[in-house]
Amino acid sequence: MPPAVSPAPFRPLSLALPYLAPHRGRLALLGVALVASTAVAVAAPQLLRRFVDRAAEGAGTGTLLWAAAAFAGLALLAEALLVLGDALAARVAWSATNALRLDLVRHCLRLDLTFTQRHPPGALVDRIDGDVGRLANLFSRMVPLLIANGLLLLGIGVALLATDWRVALGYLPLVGGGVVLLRRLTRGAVPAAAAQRAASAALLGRVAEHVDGLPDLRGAGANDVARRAFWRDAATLLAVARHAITLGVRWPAAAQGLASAGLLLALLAGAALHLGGHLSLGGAYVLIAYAGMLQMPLLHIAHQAHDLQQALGAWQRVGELLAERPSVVDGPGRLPRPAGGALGVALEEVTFRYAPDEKPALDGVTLRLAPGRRLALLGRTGSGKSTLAGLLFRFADPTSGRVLLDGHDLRGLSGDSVRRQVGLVTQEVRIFHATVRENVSLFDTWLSDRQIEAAVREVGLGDWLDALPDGLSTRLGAGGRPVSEGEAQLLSLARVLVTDPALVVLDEPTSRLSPAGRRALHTATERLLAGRTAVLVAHQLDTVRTADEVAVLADGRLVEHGPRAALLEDPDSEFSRRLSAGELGR
Amino acid sequence: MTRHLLRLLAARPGPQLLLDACWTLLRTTLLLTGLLLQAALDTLANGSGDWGQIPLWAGLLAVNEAARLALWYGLVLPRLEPGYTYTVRAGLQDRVLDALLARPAGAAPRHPTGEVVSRLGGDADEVGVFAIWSASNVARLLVAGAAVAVLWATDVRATLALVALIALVTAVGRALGGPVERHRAASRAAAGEVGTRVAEIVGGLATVRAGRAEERVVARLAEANAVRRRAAVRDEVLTSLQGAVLRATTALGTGAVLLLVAGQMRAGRFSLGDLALFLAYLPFVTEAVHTLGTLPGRVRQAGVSLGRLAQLADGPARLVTPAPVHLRAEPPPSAPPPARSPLERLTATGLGYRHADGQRALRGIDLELTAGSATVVTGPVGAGKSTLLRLVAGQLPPGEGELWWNGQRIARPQEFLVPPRCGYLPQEARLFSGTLRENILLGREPDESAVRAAVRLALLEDDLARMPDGLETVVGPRGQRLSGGQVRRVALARLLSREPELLVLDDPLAGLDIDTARALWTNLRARRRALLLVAHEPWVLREADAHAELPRA
Repeated sequence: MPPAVSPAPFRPLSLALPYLAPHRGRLALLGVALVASTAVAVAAPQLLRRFVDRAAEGAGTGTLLWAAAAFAGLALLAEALLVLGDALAARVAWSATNALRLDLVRHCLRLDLTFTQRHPPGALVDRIDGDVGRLANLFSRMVPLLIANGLLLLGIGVALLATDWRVALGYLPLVGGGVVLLRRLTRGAVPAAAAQRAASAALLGRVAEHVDGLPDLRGAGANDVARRAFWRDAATLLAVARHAITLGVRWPAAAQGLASAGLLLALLAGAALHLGGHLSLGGAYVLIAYAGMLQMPLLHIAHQAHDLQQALGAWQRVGELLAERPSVVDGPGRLPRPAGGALGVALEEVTFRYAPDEKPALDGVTLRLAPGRRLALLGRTGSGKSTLAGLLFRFADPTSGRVLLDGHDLRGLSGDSVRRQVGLVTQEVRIFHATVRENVSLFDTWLSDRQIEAAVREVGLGDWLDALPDGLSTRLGAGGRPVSEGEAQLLSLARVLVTDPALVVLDEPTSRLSPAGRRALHTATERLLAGRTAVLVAHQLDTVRTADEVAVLADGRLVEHGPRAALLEDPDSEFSRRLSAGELGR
Repeated sequence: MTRHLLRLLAARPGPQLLLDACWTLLRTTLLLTGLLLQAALDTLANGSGDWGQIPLWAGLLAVNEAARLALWYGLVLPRLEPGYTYTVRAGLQDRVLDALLARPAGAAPRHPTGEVVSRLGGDADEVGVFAIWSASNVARLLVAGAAVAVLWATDVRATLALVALIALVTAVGRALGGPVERHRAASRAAAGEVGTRVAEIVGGLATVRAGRAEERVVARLAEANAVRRRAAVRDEVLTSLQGAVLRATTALGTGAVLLLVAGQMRAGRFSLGDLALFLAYLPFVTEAVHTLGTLPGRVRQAGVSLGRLAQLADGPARLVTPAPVHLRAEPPPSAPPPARSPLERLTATGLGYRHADGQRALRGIDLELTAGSATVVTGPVGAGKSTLLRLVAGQLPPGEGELWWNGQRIARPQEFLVPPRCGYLPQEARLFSGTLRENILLGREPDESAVRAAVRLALLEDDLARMPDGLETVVGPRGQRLSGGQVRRVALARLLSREPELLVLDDPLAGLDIDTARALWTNLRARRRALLLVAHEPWVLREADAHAELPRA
């Protein structure tokens, strides 16, 4: 049964901790680097103060030169520490998100196929690759920048406190006010920017439509429609863009205003304190230097806040995917290798629903197949053939009833041990961007080249293999050697053959092969099935001809099952009627 | 293309100069801030122990800062810049669209639509952004020049040393640019490999599980992951280093100024205010030197973009000639359709055509279409049926031969053969995003009775009755929410509502059931106007007045 959908509470930190924990050492070092670079950056202006005060006192040139060199040195040190921090953050972020990506892939490989079938592959790839990539950026760039800028604001406060407590008192409301304004002024900017992108996409989309439909426009004498629509869209885009920019500059304007106010206050406070005898001339000047350092962190923090929102969305989606649970639970038993090399198959009152409120895809199916027999499953699209094939494989468990292999209920067995004995030829063949060897062995390095080559030759690809430039090491797929539909089908048979299964489930391809291709596939299929139990989801007459038994499914029910010869002789059988109606391809 | 780029900017001197002026003013306030600080600090340092003119300087500083904020965030960023950049952008897009629309509709497009859209988006944007970037940076260079002049007046030696140092460090920063680019490319390639492997696994979940290859494909992904991590970390560290070098310019410059002026300051020849001025102007000089470094690249990039747009627009001339923009008011109304001149006879003599690749599509065709007659064109695939119809309907530039309207030669078929003279239905008719009514009117003044009549003639009444919103039903992009037959009949209704004297229809009956096809045929014949169509049905051939069979090409 598919898992009940329960919105998992989104706890970003508990999701991230296991991935960050292995990097404790680096994270500690990263913290030290960030704090140290802030401290150094904040300390550098103190040397300016020293320089100015010593110069005013008429100190020796040596002292002044020392202060000047130290200032430059400290500033460079701060930058070096920031680069070190970036390196550490990037290392941690990419290691952690790599681990997360692997976990997500492992997770998807465990989930019920009913779940993964419901989600288009593109969406899952975007979770695993796109969203995780966004998280890598979050950890490697945004979080460190946010922390560094926060620390800088804090450090300036500490430095001001050390200079004069009255100045620090004035600094507090300035930054506090900034934080309050930050939340208020950045609201609305993100949706407005999205609206701007949407308006731009709408303009280009309409232009594409009109360019594609040029014959229609010209044929109806309506060329002007395209230009009028363009100018309307362009005017809308300008208005939307202005709105977005107006909202978008509110915070930078406020940050700039705060920095200007800071400068003015620093000048006045420095003058007052100096004239009152509380602060040296250098002290007064250094206040202005600190005021000049205010603007960048204020701007950066707002910028990161936008990106942070997007990254949190990615984080949440990843969390949701990880919260999905598979319904198939491995049993303790292992399916033994059958003595004769062929498995017996039995279905007992098997009913299966993809979702509790849907009508059953399989409805009370009972069926027996003796070891070594070959069964052809017939039925229209949606009759339940592929579902039945999937159950033999334990891609899902029946909603009720039992599936037995050699008398063992699949629920009590580990999925891996079942799949060790059962080979599946899927309808659609996946060729990986990898070598022939890897495509046949599915990356199993325990298989010898001899075994792999034997399987490739057995399915009739011997000549093809001999013609390859690098033999088994030839790379296939995009960027390598292209593989035709027929070759792909044969390779998928070799994939199963090399694992020597005791039961073969074959979902026959519906694609149209050339007559020669079909003959080759037929011969290879015969070699694969020889001496094994087989369940064929059949679309072609040729395939059905080789079966010992035929079963016909309709709306999830088994309407007929018997020896092929007997059904063929009976003109009233469902099988005969479908044959004469020409429902099977040749 | 640089020359054309300059001509393009010069085509709208008003907004460009206004923006230049505003940026110069804006950046001048930054210079003033430095001078005001200098004055205030010098007052403070003169040892008199009183406020002197400091309140005045502070007041001026406040006004100066407020003026900059207002100018920058109140005028330049939200008003002038978007207005200018979107004008340049839309102007370019309009000129390209103009060229595309002027092209023979029936000829094969020279660029795929995806490419056209990508250039209209990305390249027009690049040039538009360059327009405002150039204004801002011209001002930056001007003001930095002024800053150097002020510093020069203060201390020649320190100024020279400072500029030399900044140029040196900037050069180092730019030298990192090559490696940064290389590592970024490597990082992208590694990311692509990870994406490919993830997509392979997710696309083949059943295959992987059936082959018990779960851990093995995960291990394979882990390899790609590790390669990507190394590439990404290298990329990020280099990028960070480049940023650090640029930031360090200011720090090193400050240190250098301090070292150079230490002696002067002790001697009292260099004041605290002078120091503040140097340190305040340092970033301006740094930025300006950086701009000088990036300037050639930016100009080249914008030139390349303009060149790509020029390819779409048949050369740069059309792009850089000023044309009206309509961003603030409704675009001008469409020109009214030409006056109706009843067709008695359309004659084609010696029509022939060669495709752009030189391959002959058609040769020596003579045709005569009279009012009320129906002429069917048949022939094997590739015989040139569609080409013949496009030629007769003015969708292609006349290659060979001539067209005569009531005995008068048609000099420009593309402009002459439009509704209400001639209407053309392509084989793959398309609809546009919008309602069915908008698709039928397609820019014409609403005329309910004409629309109703066209809907009836095109046999759309039953279809509309089944749609809850009727004529207001919104069709998806390119009419995706309708069936193929519905799309074709809506496109036909669009033509019929224009009541053209001559209807040229490319395979209008294909895919219709026999009853619908017959009813449509009857309706088309009942109009008693000239009809030229491609059809294959034997009964159409029997009932048509004339039959032109094209031989195999």
